[in-house]
Amino acid sequence: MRSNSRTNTVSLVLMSIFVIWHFVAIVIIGPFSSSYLHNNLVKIYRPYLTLTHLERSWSFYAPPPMGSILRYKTISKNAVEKNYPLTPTDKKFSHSYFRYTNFYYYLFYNPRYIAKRGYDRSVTRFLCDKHKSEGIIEIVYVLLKQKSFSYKDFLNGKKATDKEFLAKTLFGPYKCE
Amino acid sequence: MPILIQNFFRKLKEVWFYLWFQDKNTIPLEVTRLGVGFLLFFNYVMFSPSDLLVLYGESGLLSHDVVPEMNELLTFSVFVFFDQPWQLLLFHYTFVILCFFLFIGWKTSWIKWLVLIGHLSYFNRNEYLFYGVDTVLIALLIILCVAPIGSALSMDRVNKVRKHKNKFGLEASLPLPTSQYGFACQRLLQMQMAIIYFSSGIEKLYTDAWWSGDAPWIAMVNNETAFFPVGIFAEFYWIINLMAYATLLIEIGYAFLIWGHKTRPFFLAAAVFLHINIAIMLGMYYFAAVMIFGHLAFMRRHWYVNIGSWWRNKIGSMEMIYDGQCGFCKRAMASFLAFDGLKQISIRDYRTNPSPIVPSEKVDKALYLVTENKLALPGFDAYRFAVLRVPGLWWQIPFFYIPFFSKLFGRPIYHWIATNRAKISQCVVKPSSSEKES
Repeated sequence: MRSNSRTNTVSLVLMSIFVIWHFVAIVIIGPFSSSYLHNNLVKIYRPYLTLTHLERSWSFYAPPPMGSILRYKTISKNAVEKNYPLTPTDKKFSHSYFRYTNFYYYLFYNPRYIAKRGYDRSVTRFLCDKHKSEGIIEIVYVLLKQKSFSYKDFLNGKKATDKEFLAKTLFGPYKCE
Repeated sequence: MPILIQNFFRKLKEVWFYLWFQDKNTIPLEVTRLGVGFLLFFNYVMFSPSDLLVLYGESGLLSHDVVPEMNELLTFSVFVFFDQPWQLLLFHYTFVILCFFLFIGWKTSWIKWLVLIGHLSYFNRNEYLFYGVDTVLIALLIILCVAPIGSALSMDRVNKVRKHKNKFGLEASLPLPTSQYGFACQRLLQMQMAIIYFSSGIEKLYTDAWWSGDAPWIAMVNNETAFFPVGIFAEFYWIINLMAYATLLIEIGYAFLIWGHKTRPFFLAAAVFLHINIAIMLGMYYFAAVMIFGHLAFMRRHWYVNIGSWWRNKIGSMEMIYDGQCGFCKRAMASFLAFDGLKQISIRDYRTNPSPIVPSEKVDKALYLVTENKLALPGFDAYRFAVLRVPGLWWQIPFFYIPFFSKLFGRPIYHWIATNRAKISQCVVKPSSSEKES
């Protein structure tokens, strides 16, 4: 009987320690990533945060993301250029659509970091393999980023994807090895 | 002085226990488990094999050599072992099954850990595929792993109740277990949801588009999420402004007012309403569903009890009349009743307690269900009636309600089993300890 009560006390103490530990992780360290508390506690918490991916600022739609159209251009030996969507556009409302957009958007989001990681070369290798039969020698990535599109523009009969509301960014060219 | 200090610590302990360690059942946690399990299952089952190979395969977007951290302990991914497409596909569909097990609550105490390891493995293999909703899922899953889940609304519970009824008789009931740790984990879930909303609301305040009230418009004309016709909002733009300010009010207010006794129902309803709107207007149904199941951690236990009572009253009483001398029938009945968590069905053994409504000769041939209006339904139709009305049996609806086919095959199968139940009893059922004694 006494042993049971002792086990219960020990497990309650252990659970209390976990509760405090996890509470600090999700309430103090996660969201307030530039605070004095964060900077000092994070040294202790680093392994836990790396393991659990809890270090988040939870900033959904702050700011609301502008839309983007992701494409790539293949250039063949005969200098023939073709454009393809990077995302499977025909599956816009399919479940994996956001996975593709999220991934490709990162290519443009921080190109230096992506290049350092070698992600750009890996993606290029994949796309070159995909178009092997077309004899392509280069790939250029194209981001068409939506600009501000107000309700007045809409009432004037314009569309958010009209050319004047899109800013073009190029990434590459990458040679097919 | 020591007494003062002792009193202080006693009071502190009381407050600590009140805050974190109340001995309550785990129903709110189980509801979140059901949601998280189902949504993980849905998320992974929706990947087509070709998507899977492109997004996670060695010859897909990211080859193994550019993700070396997969081999490190804290960012480990089991994908390091998958060089061949078939290995990846085998792992994937095994993982999908594990997510389904988490959803139905089968062997929950260890399945939940496998699901967490699997989900983190996908994350660590290619983290750029993931977005907000996945990190919310990880946050919820970590807490659910520590929690004693699976003791209610689960197959684990069904198996426990079934065994209990087989051992102590069909009338025996097994109360829902309570857990102090479960309460602590529910509290952590609540804290997690409150901090997500608070942080999200505060971040929005730093953004011009939210101050000017244009943010919902920007989201709705974003070609990636454009889903809903925006014409009406362009005509009446003030609606967009109202939506923006209501979102800020809900997100920031939620973090504080969700804890209040009187304000909780309003803020919980508002948060659910907000996410239903996100699902409808931006097409982000997956994100919306994850957030709603997270918010349900704030549901009070007596609300679930009230919903259960309302359902019981709406459906009315049901009595099942069975053959108490048939071991097979009793076991079948125990399995059936184990799903009746709301205890909507009462039972009657016609051998010891004949029914005034259904003559015993009829019950000799088939089990009967008597409804509140004294309507007597035999065999297959009895089950069919109950399946639609007992929430724990809803998963059987597809089998009992396929137009034409259910009745075509169900009735003869039931009739054959009922006719041969004595033989099946002898062949299949070993007498339980209580039967041996009698």
